Amino acid sequence: MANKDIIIRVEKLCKTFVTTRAVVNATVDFRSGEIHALIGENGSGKSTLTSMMCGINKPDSGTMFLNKKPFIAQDQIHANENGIAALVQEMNTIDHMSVAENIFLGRENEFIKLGMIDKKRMSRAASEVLEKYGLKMINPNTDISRLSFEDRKIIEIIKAMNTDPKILIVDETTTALSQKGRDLLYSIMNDMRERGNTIVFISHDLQEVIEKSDAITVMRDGEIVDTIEVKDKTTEDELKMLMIGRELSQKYYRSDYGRLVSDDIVLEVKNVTQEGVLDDVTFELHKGEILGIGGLTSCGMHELGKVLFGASKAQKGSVTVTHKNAIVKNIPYAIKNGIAYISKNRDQESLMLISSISDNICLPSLDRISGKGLLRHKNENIFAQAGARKLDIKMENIEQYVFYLSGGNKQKVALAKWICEEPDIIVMDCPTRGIDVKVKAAIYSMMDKMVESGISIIMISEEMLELIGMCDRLLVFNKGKLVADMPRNKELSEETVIKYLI
Amino acid sequence: MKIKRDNSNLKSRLLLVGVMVVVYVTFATLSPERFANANTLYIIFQQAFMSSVIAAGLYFIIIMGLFDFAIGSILVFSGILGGLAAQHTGYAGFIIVTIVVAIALEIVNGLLYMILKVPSMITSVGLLMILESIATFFNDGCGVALEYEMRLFGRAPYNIIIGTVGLIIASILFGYTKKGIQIRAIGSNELVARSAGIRVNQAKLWGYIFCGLLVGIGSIMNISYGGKLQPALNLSSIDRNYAPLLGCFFGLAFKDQINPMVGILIGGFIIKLLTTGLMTLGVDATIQSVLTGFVLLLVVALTMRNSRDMHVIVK
Repeated sequence: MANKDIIIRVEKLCKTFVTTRAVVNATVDFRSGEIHALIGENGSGKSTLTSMMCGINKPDSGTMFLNKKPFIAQDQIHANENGIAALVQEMNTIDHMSVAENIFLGRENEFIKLGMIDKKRMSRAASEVLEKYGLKMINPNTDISRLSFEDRKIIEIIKAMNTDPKILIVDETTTALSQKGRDLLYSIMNDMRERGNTIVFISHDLQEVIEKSDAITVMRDGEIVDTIEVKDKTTEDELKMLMIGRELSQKYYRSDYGRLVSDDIVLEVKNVTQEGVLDDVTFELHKGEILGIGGLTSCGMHELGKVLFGASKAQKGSVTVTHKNAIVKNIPYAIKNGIAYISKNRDQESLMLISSISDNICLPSLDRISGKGLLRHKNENIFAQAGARKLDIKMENIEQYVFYLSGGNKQKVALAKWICEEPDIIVMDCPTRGIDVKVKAAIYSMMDKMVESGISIIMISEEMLELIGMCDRLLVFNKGKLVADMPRNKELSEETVIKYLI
Repeated sequence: MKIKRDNSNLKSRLLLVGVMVVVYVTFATLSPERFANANTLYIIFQQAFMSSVIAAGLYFIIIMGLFDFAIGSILVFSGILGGLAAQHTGYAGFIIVTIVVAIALEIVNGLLYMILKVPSMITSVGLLMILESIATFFNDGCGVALEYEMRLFGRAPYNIIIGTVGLIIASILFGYTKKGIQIRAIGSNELVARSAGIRVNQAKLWGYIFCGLLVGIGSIMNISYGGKLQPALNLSSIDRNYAPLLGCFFGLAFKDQINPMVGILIGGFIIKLLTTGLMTLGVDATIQSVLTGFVLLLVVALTMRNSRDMHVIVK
C-alpha cells in the first residue's frame, strides 16, 4: 500500500471550537486507490478533521497538500471543484424540492435555456443518473420529502458522486442505511477505489471498518493515535483498545444466563395492526424484563415503539398497562401510566438542542418538581443534576446547551430525562445508534441497573449482537409480523436470528 | 464542545445598560433644554411600561414560534368595551371587562390558528380586519372617552404599579410555571415537547391566554393614559404593534442572559428614549423609523453571537 501515491496529506492541522480543542496537530496521509477509515469515540475529532478537508470548517493552523500542492478548502464549493466531496451525518437534502432539483442543486447553470431552467432536461438527466445506480423506481419529479429517510440518503450519495469526486468523505452514512443501501454504497466505494480514487470512511461499526478498509486511522481526544494497514489482521478488540487508550474494564454485554424473570405481566400488546406496517402483533412484557425487538429497519418495529407510547395509532388492537388496566390512547396517558419512550431520531424527537441540559431533563417531570406550586430553578437544577450524575454526563455545567455535547452525551441526556421521570416501562428505540463503545457500555450497565430495580425495558434495535447480548427474550419482526420469540440463550447466534429477518 | 456563559451574561447586561446610557447622554447633550430634564425622563419611563406590558404578552406567542398581528386591534377592541363598561360599573367593570375581552379574543385567535391549521401570521391578520370593523358597531363608531376620575391607571405612580405587576405576573408565568416551561419547550422543539407528554395545542392555547391577560392590562393602561379611544380602520391598528414588537426582540435577544421581561422593559425604554429624543430634535418621522430600525439590528446582531457559533439557522 505504501507504494501508492499520496493524494491528500493533512499536516499538523489544528481546530478549536470556543474552548474545546477538537483537532490537535493531526497529520495523516490519504493515498490514491484506498479506502481509509477514520475511527474514534464520539467527540474524538473525526468529523471535525474531515469537515476541514471538505471546506465546512477552516483549520486554525496547519496545512493540507492536495497532489503535493498546498491547499486549504475555502468552502464546500471550492472543495468540490478540487475533487473533494462529502456525505455528512445529517440529512442534507432539501424538502419540498424535487429529486432532480436536489441532485443538481448548485449546478442549475448546466440546464439554463433562455434564462430559465429547462426542467424537462434536468429531470431527464436525473432519470439517467438514477438508472445508472439501479434506482429506476424513484421518479425524479417527486418531492424529495416523500421519499423514505434511506432513499433520501441514497440521493445524497448519488448527488455527491455526480460531481465525479477524486476524494469522497463518507461520514457515518452507513448507520442510516439498510443492507440494500449499504451494498450500493459499498459498491460505489469499491468502484471508486478501482479507479484509483480515495475514500475517507467514518464509521462506528468496527466490523464493517475492518472488512471494507485498506487503512485505519484511530483518533482520540482530537489527536491521531495511529494509522494501521488492515492487512496486518487487526481485530475489533485491538481497535477498541486504541480508541479508548486502555482495555475495556467494564463488562460490555450481560454475562448472566438463566436469570428468572417475574411472572407478573406489566404490558399486554394485543392484535395490534397498522395497515401495511404492523400485522396482528400480540405479545406480553414481564416485570423486570429486557425484551428485545429486532428486525430490518422497515419491518415495522420502530412504528411499534411509537404505538406502545401512544405516539402513533393502531387501526386494530390494543396496548394495555396491565396492573392499571389502562389502554394506551395518547402520549400524556401513556406517561401517566408509567411508560417512557426514547426515540430513534435523537436530535429531532428527543432533545431540545438549543436549551439547557437542565431544561431537557426536567421536561417530562415538571409535575414532580413543582408539586402544586411554582417551579423553582434551583429545584429544577437539583433534579437535573441528580440525573446527570446518575448517567455521568460529561458537561461544563447543568445550564450548558445540549447542542455542545458529543453524540454519546446527548444520548445520555435523552436517557436521563426519562430515567428521572421514574417510569415502570421504558421503550428504547435504537438507544445505542451511532454511539461509541464507552457510552454503549454505560448504557448497557444502566439498563442492567434499571431491570434490577423492577423497571421493564423494551429495546428495539437493528444490531442483532446487542439484542442477543442484552435481552431476556428476543422478538423478531419481518414485514410487520412477529416471526420469532426466543428466550435468552448462550447458544443463540447472529446467524440464527438473521435467518428470521430475511 | 464547551462554552463559558457566565462572562457573556455580564457582558450582555453591561451592553444593554450601556446602550441605554449612551442613547440618553447623546440626546441630553444634543437637546439639553427639551430632553435633559427629570420630567421628560419620567414621562418616557411611564410610556415604556405601557408598551412593555403588551410586549410581554406578545412574547408568549413569539417564543412559541408563532406570530400575532392582531394585538393592536385586540388592544383597541377590549379598550372600547372596557371603557363603555366603566361608564356604568366603575373600576370593577372596567378592569374585568377589558381583561376578559382581551383574553377571549386571544383565545379566538389561538383557536382560529389551531382549527384552520393556517400559519398564525395569516389568521391573526384576518382576525385584525374583523375586529377593526366590529369595533365600529359600538357606541355608533365614536369609540369611548373616560372621565378623569376613571383614569387612575394612566397616572403615576399607578401606571407604574400596574405595569410592574403585569411584568411580574408575566415573569412568573413564563419562568416559574409548568405551562411557561411547556410554552418554551414548544418553541424549542415541538416534536420533543409532544413526546415528553405535553398536550401541545392546550399549551399553545395557554400561551394565547397569557398574552390576552397582558394585552388586557396594557389596554387598561393605554385608554387610561390617552383618555379617548377610537376604532382603528384600514389596518391602522398594526401601528400599535411596532413598539411592543421591538421590545419583544430585545427580550428575545437577551433571553439567555437576562430575565426576558426585564430585557423587554429596558428595550422598551431604549426605544422610547430614541423616539422621544429624535422628536425633541425635530427629526423627520421617516428618518426616526430608519434610525430606530438600525439600533435594533445593531443590538440584536451584537448579542446573537452564540447562535451564530452554533450554525443555527435563523428564520
